[in-house]
Amino acid sequence: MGLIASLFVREDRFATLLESASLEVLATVKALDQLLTSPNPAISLASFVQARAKEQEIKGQIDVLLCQRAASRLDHGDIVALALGLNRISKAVRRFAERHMLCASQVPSGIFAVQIPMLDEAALTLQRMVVGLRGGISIAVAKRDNDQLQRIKGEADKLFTAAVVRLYQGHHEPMVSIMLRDLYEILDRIFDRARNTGNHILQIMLKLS
Amino acid sequence: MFSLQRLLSRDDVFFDLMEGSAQEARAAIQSLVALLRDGDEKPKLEAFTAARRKEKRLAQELSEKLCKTFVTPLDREDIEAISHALYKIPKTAEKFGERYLLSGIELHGVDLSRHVELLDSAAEVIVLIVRELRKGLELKRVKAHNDELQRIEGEGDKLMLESLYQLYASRCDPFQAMLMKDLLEMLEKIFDRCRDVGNIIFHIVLKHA
Repeated sequence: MGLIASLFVREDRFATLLESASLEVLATVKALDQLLTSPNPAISLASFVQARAKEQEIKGQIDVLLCQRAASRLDHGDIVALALGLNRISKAVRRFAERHMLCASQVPSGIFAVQIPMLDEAALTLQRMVVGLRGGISIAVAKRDNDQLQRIKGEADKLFTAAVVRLYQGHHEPMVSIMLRDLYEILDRIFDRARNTGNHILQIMLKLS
Repeated sequence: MFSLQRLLSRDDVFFDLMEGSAQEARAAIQSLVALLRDGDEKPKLEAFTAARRKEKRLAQELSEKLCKTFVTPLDREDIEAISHALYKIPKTAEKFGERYLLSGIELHGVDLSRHVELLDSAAEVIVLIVRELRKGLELKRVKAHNDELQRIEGEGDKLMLESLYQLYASRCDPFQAMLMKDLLEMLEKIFDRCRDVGNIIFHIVLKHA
C-alpha cells in the first residue's frame, strides 16, 4: 500500500494531521513550561484546555479519514499507533501539570528546572521526525534524531534516579516526598513515551525506505 | 451493515461469551460499589474473586472456540482484544478490593460517593456497548456509547484530582496518605479499563464501516 500510495497520493492528509498532533505535543510542553514559571496558573491552564480541544479535533479527523480509507504512504495501523503515541505524550504532560498544580505550594519551586528544557528538546525532535515522515528527510537524519531522543531519555533516567535517592535520604517532609515521587514518575513516563514514539517513527521510515 | 464475514458465520457463541464477560465485569464493579457504598456490610473478597474467575473461564472458552472455528463473526484479533480488555476490569476491581480490605484504611474526608456513581454507570455502558456487537456494528449507537465512556473517564480523572487535593489538604499521616493514593489510582485504572473497551469496540466498528 505504502509504495503504490506514494505514487498516487498528492496530498497525504494523515501526514498533515500527524504533524498537527506533534505540534500540539510541543504546545502542551510549552504550556507546562509556562505553568512552572508563570505566576498566573489560570492563563497556563487555558493553554492546556485549548491544546486538549485541538487534540480531540485531530483525533476525530484521523478517525473519519481511517473510516473513509483515505490513501496514505503510511499503513493505517502505523497511523493509529502514531496518533495514539503522540496523544499519550500530551496526556502525560497534562497529567503532570494537573498534579503539580495540586501541590505547587508545597513542593520546592524550580525543582524541575533541568527536566523541562529536556522535555522541550524531546518534543521538538519528535516534531521534526513526524515532519520527516512525508519523505523529505533521509534515514540518516531520522536516525540521528532518534539517537537524540534516546540520549535525552538516558539523561532523564539518571536525573530520576538521583532525585529518588534524594527523596529516600529524607531531604523533604514525608508528604512532600510522596508528591514529588509522583511527579518524577509522571515525568519519567513522558520521556519514555517520547522515546517510544521516536523508535516507532524510525521503524516506519525504515519500512518505507 | 453488510459483511460477508458475518453472513458466513452463524455462530452466536462468540457474542454470548463476550456479553457474559461484560456481565462479569459489571458484577465485579457492583461488588466494588457495594464495598464503598455500604461501609458496614462489606462484601467479602470472594465476590471479586468469583467474578474474576468466571471472567477468566469465559476468556479461555472464547480462546478455545477461536482456535476451533474457521469463520468468526469478527476478526480473531478483535475478539481477543475485547476479551482481554474485559478481563482486565474484574482483575483491577479485585486488586482494589484486596487492597482496600487488607489495609482497613479510613477515608480521611475523601468522598468516594461520586466515584461509585460513575463506576456504576460505566459498568452499564460496557454491557450496552458489547451488546451492540451482535446487533450489527451500528456506528452511530456505538459512537454514542463510546462517547459516554470517554465522558465518564474524564469525570473520573477530575474526581481523582479533587480527591487527591482533599488528601493533600487533610494533612493526614503520610503512610495513610500513601495507601489512600494507591487506592485512588486503582480506581482511576478501572475507569481507564472501561474506556479501553469502548475504544476497542469503536475502532472495530470504524474498520467495518
